[in-house]
Amino acid sequence: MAEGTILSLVREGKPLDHIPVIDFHTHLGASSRFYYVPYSEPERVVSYMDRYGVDHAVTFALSTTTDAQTKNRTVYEAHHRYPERFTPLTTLHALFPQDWPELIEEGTLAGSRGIKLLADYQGVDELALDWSPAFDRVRDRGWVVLHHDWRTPEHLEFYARNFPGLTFIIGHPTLDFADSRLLERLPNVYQCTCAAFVYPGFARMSIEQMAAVLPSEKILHGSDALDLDFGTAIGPIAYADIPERIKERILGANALELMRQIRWPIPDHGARAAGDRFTLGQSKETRNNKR
Amino acid sequence: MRYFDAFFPLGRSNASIPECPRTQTQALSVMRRWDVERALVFHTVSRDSDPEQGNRALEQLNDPALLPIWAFDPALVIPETPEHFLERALRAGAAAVLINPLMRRLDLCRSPRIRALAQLLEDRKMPLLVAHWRTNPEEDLVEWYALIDFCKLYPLLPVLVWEWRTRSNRPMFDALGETHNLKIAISSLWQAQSIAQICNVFGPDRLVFSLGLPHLDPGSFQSCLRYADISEEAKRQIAAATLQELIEGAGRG
Repeated sequence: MAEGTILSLVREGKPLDHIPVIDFHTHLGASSRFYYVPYSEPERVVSYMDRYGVDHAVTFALSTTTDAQTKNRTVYEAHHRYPERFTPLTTLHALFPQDWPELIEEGTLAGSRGIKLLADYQGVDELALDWSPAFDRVRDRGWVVLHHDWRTPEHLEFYARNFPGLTFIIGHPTLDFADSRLLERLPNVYQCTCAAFVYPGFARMSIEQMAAVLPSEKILHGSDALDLDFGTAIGPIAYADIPERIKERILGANALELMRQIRWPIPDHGARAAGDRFTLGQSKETRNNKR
Repeated sequence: MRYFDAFFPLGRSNASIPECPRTQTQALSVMRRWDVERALVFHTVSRDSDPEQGNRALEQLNDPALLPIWAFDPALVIPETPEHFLERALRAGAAAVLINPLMRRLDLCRSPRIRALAQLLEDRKMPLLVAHWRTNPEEDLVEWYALIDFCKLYPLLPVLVWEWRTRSNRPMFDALGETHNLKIAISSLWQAQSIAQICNVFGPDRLVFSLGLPHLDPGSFQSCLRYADISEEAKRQIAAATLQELIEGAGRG
């Protein structure tokens, strides 16, 4: 397979400036329960995103095994400083349903566009939980719900059918979709690539397998940064033996299309537009015509 | 940029990717696709099960890009002395020696045969690779404070460490700060900007490149290094130069 532009740029360590790159699974924070996070200040993160050419990150708190409200606020602050670079999601703690309304309303005021879930890490059995009260509060807001692990396709399908106004994202490739065809049947379900590089030790599918099995327009790029490095997600996509147009879709075009569908504001950061940088609000055709 | 992989495996293992090579031809093919120019090669059987059987399985290697790593069995009842083991390894072209302390619950500082071997390797400045793996992927297997003690006992011995994932980085930072001869494979460092952090505080010579095979997508860590906010010189050092210097500096005659 001929080397495409994306792999060529990654091999050189140059930013992917020719395409939109939207990372749909990131964390912000200075420390997790496991580790110290290097260079975690938002300005350092933005600078690091620029090195890769990551235009925008959907982001949420790191290590939400503790007080969700406190951790969420760090993310909201980053969004307020860099609204064109970060879209925050509100993390809920599965053990405290009584907190969900307040967390959601605070998130709404702070610019949140969705909910992040992580029940197993919070010591709660996902399959014994009912998230419906939380989802019901935001059912018509164009929010996304990104879960670390939905556990079973049936569990996810229950919510996706009952809340068609929400978009459900499978945070990691941890479900087996080969049989269920879940993403084909449900328009509001998407798959994130996050941690696919840990295949088969964690992920159920590699990037190449995802591209072969799943509808390519339903795959969203996600890195888990700052929990993981942006490179652990971008690298495997760049090196994957899949068509260049599929890489472009995964890295950003799919996310851009989703953001349009659910009427999120499309960030249009002027600093980048001043250069030869792809501008998120601009269609690729328009940009190419300009050239 | 071309890379020199410090922990390149041959053979199958639990939680391995389908592309993990079993033959020299496959190894070279994987290396070409993922930009690796040279590799220190161990056999998964050496790491996971039987050092000597794994060492024999490396006899197929004859390409100069592939430098064999011989694994050492520290069982005290083995009649062959560490001196004779090392002579045999050197005759077979071994460029480094590997130990997996976890498979056998070994204490590096207290195992008599490891201590004897470490002294011999230190005399030659020949790298000791410490691979931490049990049966399935686990994070934070390295006992960093024990490793500090070991590195201080043999301060001229290059000690290269690998594990599936080093998630608790605070003890690792302590180990880097307390030693001078400890080096870590970057495929163990999954957190964002770990390379830059370590490089800036401890120096680029404390990191060596590895694809993370056989357990991780081999396209992952080139970009972590390539996009790190460090100098091009530091990147070249991590990608290949440090390991190259270690191999060239080792007395293998």
